[in-house]
Amino acid sequence: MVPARAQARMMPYPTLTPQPDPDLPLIQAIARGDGRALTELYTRHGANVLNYLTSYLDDRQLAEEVLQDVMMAVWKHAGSFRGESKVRTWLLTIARNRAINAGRRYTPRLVELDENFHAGDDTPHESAETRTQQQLLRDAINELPKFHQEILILVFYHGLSGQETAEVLGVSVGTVKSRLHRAKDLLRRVLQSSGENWGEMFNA
Amino acid sequence: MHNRQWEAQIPFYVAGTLTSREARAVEQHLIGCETCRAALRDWQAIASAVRTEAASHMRDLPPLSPALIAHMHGDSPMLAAPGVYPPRLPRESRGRGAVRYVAPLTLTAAAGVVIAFGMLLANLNSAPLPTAGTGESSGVEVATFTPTPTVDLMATIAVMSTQYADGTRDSDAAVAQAETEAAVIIVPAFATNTPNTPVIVLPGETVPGDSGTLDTPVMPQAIVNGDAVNMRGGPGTDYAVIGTAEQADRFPILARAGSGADTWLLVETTDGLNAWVYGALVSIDPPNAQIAPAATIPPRPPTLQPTQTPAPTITAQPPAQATNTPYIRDGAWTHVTTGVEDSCGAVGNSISQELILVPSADRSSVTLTYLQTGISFTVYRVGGLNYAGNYNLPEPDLNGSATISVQLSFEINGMAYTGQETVNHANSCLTRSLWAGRAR
Repeated sequence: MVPARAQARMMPYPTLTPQPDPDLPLIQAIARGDGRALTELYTRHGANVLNYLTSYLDDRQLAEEVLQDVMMAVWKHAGSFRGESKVRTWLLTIARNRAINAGRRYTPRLVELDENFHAGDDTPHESAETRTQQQLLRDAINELPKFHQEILILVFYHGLSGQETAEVLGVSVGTVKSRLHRAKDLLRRVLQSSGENWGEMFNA
Repeated sequence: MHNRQWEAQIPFYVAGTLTSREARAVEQHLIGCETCRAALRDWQAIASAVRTEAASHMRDLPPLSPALIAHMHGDSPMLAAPGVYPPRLPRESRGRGAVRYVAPLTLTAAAGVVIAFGMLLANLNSAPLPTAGTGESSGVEVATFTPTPTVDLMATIAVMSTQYADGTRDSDAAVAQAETEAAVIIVPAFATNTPNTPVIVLPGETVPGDSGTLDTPVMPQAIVNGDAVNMRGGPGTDYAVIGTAEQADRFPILARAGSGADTWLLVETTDGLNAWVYGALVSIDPPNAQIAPAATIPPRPPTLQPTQTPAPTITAQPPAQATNTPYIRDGAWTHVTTGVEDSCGAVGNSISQELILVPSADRSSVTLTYLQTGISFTVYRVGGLNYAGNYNLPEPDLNGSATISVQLSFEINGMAYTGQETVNHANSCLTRSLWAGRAR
C-alpha cells in the first residue's frame, strides 16, 4: 500500500550530522539533467564566480560571457564531478580555466575608484585616517602583480582554504603560502614608501 | 618562538578558513609571538581592504543565457515548465547598487510533501522607524547613527516546497538532509503566548511546545490516508489550513492532542514545517507507537470559523495564514558579504564570515555572533519580525558602536538566505552591506 519510494523517503530521518557539501546534491541533480538544479547552482554561486571572472579578465562583458561558458561546462560535465573538492572550488577552477581560454592576459586592474570617495570626508565623526589608510591599502593591492591580487581575492573574498586555493590555482599549498607572504611583503614596501603613518602596521 | 610555519597560517586564520583546532593553535601561538601579532594586524587590514575591493565589483547576476537554457531544455525532458522554477531570483534594485532578494517559490503538484507557503512579507513598511532614515523610501531604511538601539530588522520570508516535480529528491537522502536543515520556515507558533511572535530555534533545539526532537532516528510516522488531506496550524478545523498532504505521504509524528475520534497529530514535514493533521485521516506506523501529548497547543484563531475556512492548497497566497505566527528556524549561517555600501558615498568596510543566531527563550531577542571575530550583539523584537539593536565592533578599524538593521529573505529549498544588512557606524561610515548564505 505504501509505494516503495515513499518508504525510501521516510527511512532514515535525516540527522543533523557533519556538514556535507551543500552543493553536492545540486551537481548530482544536474548530472541527471535537472535544469532547475543548474539554475539553483547559478543563483547560489553565479555572482561570486562573476566577481572572480571580472577581476581576472578586467572586462565585465567578457566575464559575463565566460560565466555562461562556465555554466555550460557545468551542465555538460557535472557527471564527471567526483566530489574530491567542494563544488564552489570546482566552479572557480573551471572559471579560471575558461578565463585563460578566453585568451586574455592579465592586466592589472585598477579599481574604478569611487570618485566620490573624498567627497565623503566631510562626515564629521568618521575616522578619515582609517579610511585613507584603507584606501591607500586598496590602491597598493591593486598595484600588486595580478597573481598576487588573485590569491588575496581567493583567500579573503571567496574564503578558500589553503588547499582549495592551491587547487584552483593549480599550485602546491606551499606555493600558496609563499605567494601570500610575498604579497604582504610587497604591500609593506609600497606602504612604507607612502609616507603615511601606519602605526604598528606594516613595519614588521 | 616565532617561526614561518605559524606566520603562514595567519592569513587563513584571518580568512576564517582554518579548522577550529588549527585556529585555536594559532591563537595559542599568538599569545607569545609579537611578530605573528604584527602579522595578524597586517593581514586583518589587508583582508578588509581586499574584501571591500572585491565587493565593490559585485554586480547584478545576469540571467542564464538563452543558449544555455535552450540547451538544458533540449537535453532534459524533465525540465520544469517555465515559471515553475524561475531562472533567476527576482531582484529589485534598492539604489546605490544594493539589491534585495526575494526568494523564488518552487511549487509542485507532484506526489509527496505538498505543503507550500506563499511569501510572508513581514510588514515591511508598517513598522515605524524610530529614527529618521536617510535611505530609500521603502524597504530598508538606513537609520542614522544614534547611540540608542534604533534598528529596523525586517524579514522577507519565502517558504518553498522542496520537491522537484520529477521527484528526484525522494531518492536522494543527501538532498533530504540538506533540506531539513533549511533556514527558515513559517508555521503557527505553538508555545509563544503572543500572536505574531517570531520563533527562532537552532536545528536540534527543541521548540517550546514541540514535544519531540527533530533528529530522533526512530520516530513514529503518520501515513496519510486520502487525498488532499488538510494540514493545519493547530489541532482543530478552526485552525487555518497551511497545506495539504497526499495519499501515502509520511511524516514523523512529534506530538498529539486530543484523544479517540478527536485525535490530532503534530507532524513535521520534509520541509521542516510543523503542521497538525486529523488523526482519523492517517495511519500511525508503528501502530502501537507512544506519542506524547503536545506540551502546548496554539491559541485558537479568534476570527476563523470552521464553516468558512477556505482551503488553500498549493498556492502562494499568504492571507489564510495571516493570523499565523511567523516561525523562524535557523542555524549557523554562512555569511558572505556580496556588496557593501556606505552612506558617505564611499565604499565601506565589509566582512565575510559566518554567524550564528541564537534566540532567547521567549523569542524576544536574538543574539547574533560572528564566528571568526567573535563579534556578538543582540537585537530585540520591537514587533512582528522587526528586531532592533546596536552593537560594538571590536575590530581595529571599526571601533565604536553601531546600529544595525537587517532585512532577510530566505528560501527553504536551497537553504539559501539572502539579506541586507545596514550598519551605521560613527567611525567607519559603514552603512550597508548585502549578504547571502545558507544554513550549515
